[in-house]
Amino acid sequence: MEDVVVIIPALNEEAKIAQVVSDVTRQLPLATVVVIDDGSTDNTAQLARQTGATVLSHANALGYGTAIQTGYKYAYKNGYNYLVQIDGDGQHESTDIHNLLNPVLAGEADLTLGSRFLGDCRYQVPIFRRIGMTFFRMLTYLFTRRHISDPTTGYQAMNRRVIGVFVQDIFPCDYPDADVIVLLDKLNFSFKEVPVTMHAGDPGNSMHGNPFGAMYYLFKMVVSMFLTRYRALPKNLV
Amino acid sequence: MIPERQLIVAVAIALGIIVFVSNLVYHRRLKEEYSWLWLLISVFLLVLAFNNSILKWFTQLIGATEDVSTLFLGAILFLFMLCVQFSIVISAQSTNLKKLTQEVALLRNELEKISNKQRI
Repeated sequence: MEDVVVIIPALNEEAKIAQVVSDVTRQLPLATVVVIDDGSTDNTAQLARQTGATVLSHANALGYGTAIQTGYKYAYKNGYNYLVQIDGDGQHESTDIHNLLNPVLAGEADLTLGSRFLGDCRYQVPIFRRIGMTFFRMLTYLFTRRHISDPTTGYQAMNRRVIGVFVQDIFPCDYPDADVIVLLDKLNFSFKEVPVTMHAGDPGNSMHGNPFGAMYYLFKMVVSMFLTRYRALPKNLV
Repeated sequence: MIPERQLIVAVAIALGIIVFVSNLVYHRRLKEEYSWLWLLISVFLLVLAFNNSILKWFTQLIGATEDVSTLFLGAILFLFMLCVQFSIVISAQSTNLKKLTQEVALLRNELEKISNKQRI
């Protein structure tokens, strides 16, 4: 398990981060836990460091996608073979880490996606969000011909081959969601869904909190999925 | 030829833009790569001032009734091109900023590791 890194993107999560790091460390004591502090203005970085995590601090907030890509770059640069990503707001249940990681360790899949809809979703997903998820589920099927129950999940595990793709400019840092699945399908990576438990996240930190943000997300994701599917790949990836 | 007064105003504006933009570039307040569109449009304005048959030909070509409509269309298209150029530049800058921020975070971590080792 020494070659496993767990990345936790966090922005102003001082209330939850220490608990999340402790829970992850309890599950994977030999793994390296890395918190990517995306320009927090509270004590997120200090608390994460005190709990034993390696902290990568962005000088200013650049968003969730850029934060996780910093984690991928750290993993790739330091030679880790496996990576788990888990949110810093306590939404994801750390006990599911093994279920996510084991298929990747066994070589059954290059990437696993934690699905709240195959597992235990312990909160009422708001109706508009549910409609959005159904829409993206249908779009994902249209572009990949694969049924993915939770294409917007941020709870994932992957091997070094996938990390090697995600460190490049092709990774959609704006909102990496269903378009990432389209990209992996195009590159013939294998992936599977794993049932996980999810709790309600912090709505105050959600990028889809306001209607304009949600509309922009919808527009951006549709364009991004379409472009990812039909745009020529960079030469180094072909 | 266009009326003398119009010619003087057009030439003055075109030369004014050329001098202003060149001065900004000279004092390094504007990079050469962002000046070419301004200089191009000024030269184009000079050409139109001395030979307005091009403007009349283009007015006929696009089906406009007045030369001034063609000029307005040209001005709007120019501003549109400028906005697109700025959007392209901003996109490139965002990507660079993202890479730099990530690189700084990774290097800061390396630095912390080294200083921790030295303390031990």
